[in-house]
Amino acid sequence: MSTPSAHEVTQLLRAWSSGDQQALEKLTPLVYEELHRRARYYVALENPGHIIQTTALINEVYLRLVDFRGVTWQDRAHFLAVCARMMRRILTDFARSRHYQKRGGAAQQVTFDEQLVVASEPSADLVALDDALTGLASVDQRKCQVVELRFFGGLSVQETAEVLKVSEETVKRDWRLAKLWLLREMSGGEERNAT
Amino acid sequence: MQPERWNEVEQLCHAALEREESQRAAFLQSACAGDQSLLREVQSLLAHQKQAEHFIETPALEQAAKSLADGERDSHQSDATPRLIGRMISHYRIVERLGYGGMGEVYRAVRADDQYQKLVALKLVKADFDTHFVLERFKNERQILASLEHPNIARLIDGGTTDDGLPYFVMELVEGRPIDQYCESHRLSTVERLKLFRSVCSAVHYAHQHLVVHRDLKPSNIMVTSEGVPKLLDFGIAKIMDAEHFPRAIEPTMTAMRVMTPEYASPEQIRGEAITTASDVYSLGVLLYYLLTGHLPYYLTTRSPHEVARAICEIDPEKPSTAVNRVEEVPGPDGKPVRLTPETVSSTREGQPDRLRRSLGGDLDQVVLHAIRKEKDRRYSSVEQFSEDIGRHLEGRPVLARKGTLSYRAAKFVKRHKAGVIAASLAVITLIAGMAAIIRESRLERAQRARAERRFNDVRELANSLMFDINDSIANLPGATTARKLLVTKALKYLDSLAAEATGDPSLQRELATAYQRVGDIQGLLNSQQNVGHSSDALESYHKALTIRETLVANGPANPADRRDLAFVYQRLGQVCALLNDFAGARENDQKAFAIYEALHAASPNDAKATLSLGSSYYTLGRLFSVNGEWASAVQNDLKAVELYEQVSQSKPEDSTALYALAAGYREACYNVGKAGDRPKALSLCRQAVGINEALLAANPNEVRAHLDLSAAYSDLGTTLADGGDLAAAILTWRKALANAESVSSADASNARAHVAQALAENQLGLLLTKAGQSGGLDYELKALEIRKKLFTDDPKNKGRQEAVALSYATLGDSEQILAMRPHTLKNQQVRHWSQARSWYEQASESYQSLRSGAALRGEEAGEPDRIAQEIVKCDAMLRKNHGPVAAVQRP
Repeated sequence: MSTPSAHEVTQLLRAWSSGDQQALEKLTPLVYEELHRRARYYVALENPGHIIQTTALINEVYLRLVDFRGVTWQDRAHFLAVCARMMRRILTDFARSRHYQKRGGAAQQVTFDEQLVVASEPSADLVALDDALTGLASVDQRKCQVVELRFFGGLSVQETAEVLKVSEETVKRDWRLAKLWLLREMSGGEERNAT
Repeated sequence: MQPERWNEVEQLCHAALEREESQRAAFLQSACAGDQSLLREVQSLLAHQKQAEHFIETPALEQAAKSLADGERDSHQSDATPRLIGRMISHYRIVERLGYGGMGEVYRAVRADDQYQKLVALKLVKADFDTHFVLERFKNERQILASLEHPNIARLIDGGTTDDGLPYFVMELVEGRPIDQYCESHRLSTVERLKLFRSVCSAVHYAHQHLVVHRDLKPSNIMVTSEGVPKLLDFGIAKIMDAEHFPRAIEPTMTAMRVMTPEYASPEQIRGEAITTASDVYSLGVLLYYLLTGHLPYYLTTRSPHEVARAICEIDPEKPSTAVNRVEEVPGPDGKPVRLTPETVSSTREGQPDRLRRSLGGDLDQVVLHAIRKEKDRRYSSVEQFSEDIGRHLEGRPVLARKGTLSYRAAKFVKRHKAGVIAASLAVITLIAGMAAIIRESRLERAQRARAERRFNDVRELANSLMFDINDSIANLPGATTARKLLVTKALKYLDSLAAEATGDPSLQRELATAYQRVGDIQGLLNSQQNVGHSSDALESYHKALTIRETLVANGPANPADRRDLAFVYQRLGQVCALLNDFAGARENDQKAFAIYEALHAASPNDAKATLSLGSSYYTLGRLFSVNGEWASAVQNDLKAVELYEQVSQSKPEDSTALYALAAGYREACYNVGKAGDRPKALSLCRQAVGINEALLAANPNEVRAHLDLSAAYSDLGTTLADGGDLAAAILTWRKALANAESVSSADASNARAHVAQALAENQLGLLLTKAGQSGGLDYELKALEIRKKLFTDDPKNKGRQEAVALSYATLGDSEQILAMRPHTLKNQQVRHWSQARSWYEQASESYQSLRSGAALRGEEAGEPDRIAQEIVKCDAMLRKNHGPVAAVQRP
């Protein structure tokens, strides 16, 4: 297994925060792979129904990938942003694969009990949410980021404000409106303004 | 949508949401002012207001966890499980799956042999995880388990490879509960928790001795069986330490598998530095903190990565006894938040918050904090040391953790103010040293190594903590003697048990010998400033030290430090022999010491330490000549001592040790010169001593030694003045001697040397007052007698003390005689004085007789019993002349 050195990840974060988009491209698969592995590992370890704290998971990824000693506040904010985006991708992918399984050939192997469990706990349709978020990003990039950080990254209002360098009040307002926007988008039948 | 338009929609939404629901429609109608598309846009958003309340408020992962877990389970059940349940692997039939982790799965299995059936745990690599890396780690764990056999570590039973080529191993099946849950459900008290925790320590220490660091110690890896036996599990990320892997600062495998339980991770783990046994000490410290208080060491308001990392690396944890006061909400075992209060955490521990706080305050606070110090070289040096400190606490003995607080703070201060480079290199050196020791010892036989390590730590603790730190810190403070008696009793008990096994390791033996010497010093040397006053016990301790030192020198005669140490023991022995009036023994020992010191001084004449040592040897020999009445030889030795001391104090004028010694040399020379008959020279030597001792006291007014040495200098001066017939000056001088002795004896009732000095001064002062025709002399003498009697009772084998009692009786007899012979004394008073004198002399005679039967009297005093006998004859004659028979004389 080749693991990127903590130093390497920190350097990439730096480069990205000073505007190097290629750095992000290099960084993304590293963080993605780690988050993905951790998420799977985490989920596999825990009992079903056990609360999994996103921040704890990102904690671990962060501690694992980043050279803690050499990191600045800015690097950390960027890292959280990257993680939140990665979590969005990971979880959406998971959701997609389950969609496929449920509809496809693996369906007969889901036991009766599990169907009950799944049915009794309707979770947000992550695939639809992901699509809606992409739409939101084209209208209001920052609101999309707020949702990524809070919902996928598990950050608090205060932490989100720190990462985005805006006031907590702004985060709250963005969050409130983004939710309305996403709900309308996902409910489908509503009128959309195409202008 | 245009940004301006979107902005307008947003503002309107917020404005509408701020209003009551009933007023929103009207507000929007007027605000949109006929712009229908704007109104529709805003209304379509607000329509979802109700749903939005709970929408995506729970982070995605938590929400998705169940479905993700199901997904994982699907893949497991559709794949591995049906394939394995009921199947045989070697002799084992798979019964059910107990758990699964990132790369392995654990099954309950049954050994289905012809003979017996036994439940076991079987660990297997997951079918789709058999990468090279995972297989290596798996083999690593198996190898580690194979090397460990301990009642508190889940035992490896068997291992092999399945038909599919996957490695597996079979372990003892531990059916129990994680240690934290076990403690809670059994409502274990603090003491019970400590005892359980010590069993865990013994397992971890055992692993360390086998060069295995666990690296993931946390409650879920420590199961307690229904019989209450803790078992260490999961060596999945444990590490075998060996020279090849050490001391690389960051190991790739280590980083890759960094412990993912930040709460129990040490600062060095957080920073990705090398993980050593010290990291396990830290994790155990956090575990103990948690078991005792129900809280983790750091009070965190958020769980952001930076916050956790910063807390572990930078924030000083609260004392456990303070942490129990916290009110906080934490995730419970079922994931639901649990509210912790002083009452809830106490209810499963000591019952009441007060009792819990009391049980943790003091020792345990320090012990736990000592284990979780940020700097790994400031923690307990081993898990065993940690565990033994808990043991000390349980037995009510002082704990190590509390001794170093001051020096620790000092070290921390220095560290803060020096360049980081120094601190960093120090840390590395400490690491290497620690590892080198472990590796060195790993070559020894297993049992011997364990013993050596245990002994080494025991001796170190004793020598350094009990003897040196405590003793030295109270050495010059009055009032500490009682504390020392306790110290001695406890120390000896340990040392004797250690000595029996301390063979083969010179450094161990040196420490042991030093510890015996310290005990001997405290037991009874008058020269040490405070002593318990048990000379024969001291002799025994010094002999034990001597035996060890002689062996060391015989095995390595070229080592000057060992030789100096040996000479030092001889000298100490000589001093105690002299105290017990065994002057032949004293001289024998002191001559052995002298020969070694002379050779060492010749080898390095500029070495201050060697010079002082040789000086002290001359001084001691001088004293021995003196007690034999060989004045000229005594003076010769004294002057050599003075010369050498002078050399050192001139080259090192700030060194008070040399000055104290120099003054003592002058005092001894003064005494012997006086006895040899050169009174003017004696006076000038005395005045030299007084000058030095006065200066030393002025510089160190709180030092016991400064007072007592000055008292001794005045005593010698007083004696010399009295011998020269200057009674007035002598009385004045003895009064000063008495004042200095009293200032110490009144502050520390158990300081023997101060009482000896006080009694001497009172006795001599009393005699001089009587001789000078002044009143009150007898009172002083009687006081001196009382002190001397008590001193003798305290140390009945001390011949010097017995002799002092005899001398007091004789002095009282002499004084009564002087009073009887005073002019113008009435006849009946004369009779009373003579009969009193006779009575005192008779008691003196009895004392001398019992002294004589024991050992020889000092040369100088050798004639005293005969003189007493003559005085008794004289008293009888006077009484007959004045009165008649003497039979009915009352003893005072």
